[in-house]
Amino acid sequence: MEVVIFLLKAYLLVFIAIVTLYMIRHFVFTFNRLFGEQKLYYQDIMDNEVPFVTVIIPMKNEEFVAGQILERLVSSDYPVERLEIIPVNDHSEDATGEIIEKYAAAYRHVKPFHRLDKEDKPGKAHSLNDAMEIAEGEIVVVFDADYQPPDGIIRELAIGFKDPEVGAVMGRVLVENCATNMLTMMLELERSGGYQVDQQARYNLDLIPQYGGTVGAYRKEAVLKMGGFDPQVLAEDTELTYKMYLNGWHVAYANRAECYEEMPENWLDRAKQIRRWARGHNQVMFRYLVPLLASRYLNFKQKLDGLLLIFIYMMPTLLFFGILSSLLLFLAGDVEIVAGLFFLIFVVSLGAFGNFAPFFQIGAANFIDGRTKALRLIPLFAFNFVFYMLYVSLGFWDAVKDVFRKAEPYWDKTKRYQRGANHA
Amino acid sequence: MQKCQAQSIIPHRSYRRLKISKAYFLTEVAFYVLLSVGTVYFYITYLFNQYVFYFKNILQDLHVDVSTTAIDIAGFPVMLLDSAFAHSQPLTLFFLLVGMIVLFFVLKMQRVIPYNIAMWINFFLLMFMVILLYFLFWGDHFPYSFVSYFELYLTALIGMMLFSFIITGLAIALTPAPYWMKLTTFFIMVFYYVGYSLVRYGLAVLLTSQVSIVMAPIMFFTLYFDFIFFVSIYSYFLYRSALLLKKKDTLWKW
Repeated sequence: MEVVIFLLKAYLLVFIAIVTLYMIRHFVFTFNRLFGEQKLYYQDIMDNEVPFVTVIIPMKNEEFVAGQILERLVSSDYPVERLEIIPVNDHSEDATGEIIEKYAAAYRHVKPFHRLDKEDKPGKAHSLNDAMEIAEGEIVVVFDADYQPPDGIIRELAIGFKDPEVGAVMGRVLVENCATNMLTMMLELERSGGYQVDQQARYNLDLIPQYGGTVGAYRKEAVLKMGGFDPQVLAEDTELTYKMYLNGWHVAYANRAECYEEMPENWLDRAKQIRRWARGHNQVMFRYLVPLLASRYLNFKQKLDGLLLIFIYMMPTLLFFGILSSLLLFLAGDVEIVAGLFFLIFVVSLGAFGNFAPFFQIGAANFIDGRTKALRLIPLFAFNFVFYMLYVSLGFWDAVKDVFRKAEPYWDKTKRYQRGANHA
Repeated sequence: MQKCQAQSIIPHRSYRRLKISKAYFLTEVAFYVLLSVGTVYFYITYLFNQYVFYFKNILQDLHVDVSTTAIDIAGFPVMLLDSAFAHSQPLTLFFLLVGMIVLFFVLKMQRVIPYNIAMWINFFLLMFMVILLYFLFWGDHFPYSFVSYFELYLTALIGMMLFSFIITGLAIALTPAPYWMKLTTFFIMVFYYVGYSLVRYGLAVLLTSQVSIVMAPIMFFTLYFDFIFFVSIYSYFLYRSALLLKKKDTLWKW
């Protein structure tokens, strides 16, 4: 029994130390974003020689949004002779293929790619790999189908590659349907914390800004050399981030390259999404933890940031065990050593992991963004931690199971609500 | 010759940062930290002890059997009320029953109240169910005396208080609001929590000594809820500051 008590105490102390570290990290990010020198992205470079860009949009049953994104992309101000758009119809069973064909008939630089054969395995990674084989652009820009790219964003993303050290570029994601309900409002606050403060501060501090898999771009040759995207990994974006840094490339963050996306409008859709993210992120953790620590390209600061980033989707599981330990220790009469600190476990559960930043980071980010009324929703994040703890932990467990099985994971697609097909 | 005029450039939000010097920020943080430590010191060395004596007299007037005991918390002598836990089995069973009914009621309500909040309530109800079952089967093994439980309670409360004051002080210092607004917010938080925590302690004593020992872990683990009040006050302060700043572009730096 004494051994169990000792282990519970040791676990609790280590866990409290880790969450405190995360808390400090987020405070440093917030402080840097508010007061530090901001590292400007390359958008002010004036150069007529822009790279040839291929825009890839993986689509599966996207009839509600396909027309909307294609309409926006064909009206882009990027030189048409330096641009090709490849909408990938990945085994769609709805009108997605027809919408794509309509645009292809009207615009020469829209080159549809239908993946309908049974031999063509479905999934975003397969779609990107196959599309890259036919892509002519040296730079690949990726958008998910529910995104609404504004004018100028392709140039803003592509111009970053003037820097020969940049292997990937990430833009900023904003929530299009933020006014729909309480969930989307909170997701907007959360997103703002993740991009306006977290990503920008990481970029400022030369740490590891994350490539997010959409509203982003990468060098095609670099990715092909690294073996493309692994269909076993659900978070191909996180994997690319680590691959880039482990191969000596950098990820640039373009805070001004803003693009709107559609977020889940109910909690069950959000649960599926967050579980998938957690699964993919933890798959990356199992695969890249050791190479990250052993990398000769990364300095200590970057390794530490990479480590904290890679562990993010494991924290809710650790939190659950932290709460369990504190309860058991309390009932066993052995909680004295952490009595003054144990509440930290619950306090940080307000969101010191993942995109779900602590309250002051979310506050600061939305403050910079100029939001007012939405700021009053911040206390409601306290009610999310059980939800995240459960679904992120399930995602973690999925990733553990993936280590032992060879079958490709199923991509549980997020539901769309737009009626963008009207554009077609 | 026409004179050039300074252009009014509206900064894009991606470039915005605050026009506060680091020195001001650090001074302000030092001020809040000192104020927090001072308040907590005053609380445990004077205010809490005064309250304990005052509350003891009230309880004695109500014929509740209670005395005081001196303990040591982080080197400070603190007075605590000493009484006995109410070990009433029927009441424990009653709480168990009530807990189960509420749990299932809330589970049923999940379709009505938001999913995240329903899960949150269910989680804590499950936790309390575990506690109730513990008292039902192992209640005699509860490892705390009345005083040692409240020693633990007070240690956690002091930690919570110090942490909350400092972290919200830091968050306030990060905001470019007028000083009167910052100080008002900080003092509202301090006065509110100091007052509330005294009342909460009194309530915990009453519930555990007069109603049921089952309330002991519940009152301990719900200390965390208090932090939501802090965040609420902070977010309202931030909202008011954002409204003010909307009118003053000069406070932004880019």
